[in-house]
Amino acid sequence: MLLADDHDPMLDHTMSLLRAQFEVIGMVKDGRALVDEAQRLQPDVIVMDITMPILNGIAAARELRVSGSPAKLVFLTVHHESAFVRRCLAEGALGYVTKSRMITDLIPAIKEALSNRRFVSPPLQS
Amino acid sequence: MAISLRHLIFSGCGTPGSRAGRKYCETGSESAAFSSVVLFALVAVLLTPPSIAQKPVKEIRRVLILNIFEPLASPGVAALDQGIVAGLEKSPYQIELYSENLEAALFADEASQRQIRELYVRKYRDRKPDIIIAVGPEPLRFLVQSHNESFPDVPVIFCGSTEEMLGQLKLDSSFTGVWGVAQPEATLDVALRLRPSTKHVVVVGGVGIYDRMLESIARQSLKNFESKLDFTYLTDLAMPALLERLKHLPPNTIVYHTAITEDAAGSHFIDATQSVPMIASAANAPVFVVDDVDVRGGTVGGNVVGYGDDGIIAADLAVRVLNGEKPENIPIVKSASVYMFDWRALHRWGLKESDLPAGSIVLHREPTVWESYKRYIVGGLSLVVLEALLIAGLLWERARRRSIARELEVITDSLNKLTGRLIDAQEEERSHVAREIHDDYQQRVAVLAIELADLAENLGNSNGETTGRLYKLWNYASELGMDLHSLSHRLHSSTLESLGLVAGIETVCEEFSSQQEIKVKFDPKDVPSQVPGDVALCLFRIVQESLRNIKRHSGANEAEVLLEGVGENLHLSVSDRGRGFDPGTRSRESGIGIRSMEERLRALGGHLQIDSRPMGGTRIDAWLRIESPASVESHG
Repeated sequence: MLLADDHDPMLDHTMSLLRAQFEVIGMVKDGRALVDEAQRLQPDVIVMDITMPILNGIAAARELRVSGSPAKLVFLTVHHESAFVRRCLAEGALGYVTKSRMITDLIPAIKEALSNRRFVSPPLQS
Repeated sequence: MAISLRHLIFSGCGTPGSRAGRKYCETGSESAAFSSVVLFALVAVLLTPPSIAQKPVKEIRRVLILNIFEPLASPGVAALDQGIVAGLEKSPYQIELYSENLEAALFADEASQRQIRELYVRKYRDRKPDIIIAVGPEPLRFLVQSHNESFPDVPVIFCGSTEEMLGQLKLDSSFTGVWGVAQPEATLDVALRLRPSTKHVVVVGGVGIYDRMLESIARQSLKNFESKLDFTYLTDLAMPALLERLKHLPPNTIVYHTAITEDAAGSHFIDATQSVPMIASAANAPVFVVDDVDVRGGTVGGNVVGYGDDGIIAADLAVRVLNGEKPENIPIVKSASVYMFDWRALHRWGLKESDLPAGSIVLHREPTVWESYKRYIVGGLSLVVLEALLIAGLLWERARRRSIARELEVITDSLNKLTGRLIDAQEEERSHVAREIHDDYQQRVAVLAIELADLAENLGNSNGETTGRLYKLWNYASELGMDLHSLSHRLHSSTLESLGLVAGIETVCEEFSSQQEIKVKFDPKDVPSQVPGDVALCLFRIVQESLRNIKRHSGANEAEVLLEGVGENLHLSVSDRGRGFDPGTRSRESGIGIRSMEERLRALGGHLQIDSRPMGGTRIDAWLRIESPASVESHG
């Protein structure tokens, strides 16, 4: 499990939520580091934010897809616009969870992703 | 004038019913005398107003004009006669006019003169004139000598003579008249003033009766100058010899012409019209003269006897006598001589007009260019000045306009730059605030929500009420997070920034559709994937502003947004089928919105077109050039 978020408290919370069930092998704070670490660490799942310095999450997802990364992508973000959801899914993401619904939605989203199924936080499903 | 008079006379000869005319046409030897009668009869007839015929018949008075010369052969006599005829019009009587002449030039010898005089005495024996007007010295002398026998009790008015010409003869109570005044000395004074270098004076004259009279007057008058100047009298020469002499006069000479009606060879001349021009053109010196009629043919002029006025004065005296006044009670008038000059001769001899006595009459003055064309010059100059003023005014106005246009251009340019900077600053500030909200507050609210959710999860069902309240708080925090996100998004679109122009506009349209109950259809076509940030932001804002206007003003429930790449340009169109407006009278509020769109576009070199009419919907088209169009953005 690789985590990517430029916001430390959020990273801490995500870490504490996930570590009971998953092995977190790395945490990065920008899109460029994410791409590099994903290629180096080969995680099964990447939980990533959209708005990040240097390279945003969507651009990073595209690079990963283009490079043939097998990692499942779950976005954890404050963006709730459908355009983001569509774009992220188009870039190969399987999960799209809003941060405020992290506690309830993130673990189900990861699990769905590991099963190659999509999960989008319920308020955004349309 | 002479020609036309002659013509009149010959016409008169052929007039049927003119008994006198027939008679004198047949007797050729007396044709000259006859001509005079016919001339004056004609003049009298012509001068008589037709209405007189209808008035009560006036009493007839016979007036005999006795001339020294035939008027046709003497411009001086003609001038006097004309004055007399004109003056007699004032008479209350029907004037019966007779005109005779003594032929004192052509028949000057004593025998001829006696015959002519006897003829007239006989002629008028049975037709006694009521008054005789004697024109010239010879008729006067004749009447002074013989009127008691020839024309007893007939009053005589005289003119055309100077007092000196009467010689020793004395006028009796039957005579009154006007003396001409010849002042050769006054002429010489002027000549010396005009030509101070004068040393020689040549007096020319003829041998005729009148010529000798004038010569005598001149000799008398000029006596006082003989000590100062050298005088030569050329008065006994034949005309050719005289002219030859005049051609070779020494320098500093002036010529004083008296009269030449007959030269030493016995040739006769009309003085004014024949002798005078010959003398003037032959002489190599300026020629001064005695009579006003001689100021012609190249002569300079001088202090001259004015005959024209004397005729009128004589006629006035005649009218008074006809009205009953006695000649002896009417004082003799002395005519005023006049200074009269020919401008051309003055000019020829280099004589200055400024040296002439005050009140001089200057004939034939060539008007200066200024005098001739004063009106045209003044008019032309006025036009030129007016035109120049107009041109100056127009040039000034044009310069002013250009200067204003330049200033306006500078102002507009700086205004555009300022507008651009303001828009940039505003966008920057919005972006800054939005980022702050997103990066800090939204994250903190998200953490808060996560904490609340975590807490609620951990509590589970152990404390139902608390858990319920925690979930409520979580929901509240989640909504707060979304609201913050919306706010951040409005200030600065993260969609636009992260996903590009198409997604940005798409999101705006979706949000607008869901929030404002106006269905917005977005149609992107061939939009390049890489649109420069400022271009994208500009179009994005135009969409936002246009949709806001649709909501505010159109009343439409549907709108369309078209974004298409056309070559190197991006074309954005936002349209509705709402109530529209008259672009000429757009409200202040919407005007500001539209203006801000225009300014955004202009700052980037684009332009905006608004097509709207009342109840016809509104369509806003914006065009912007993209510097380097990249590959077409994929979407859908």
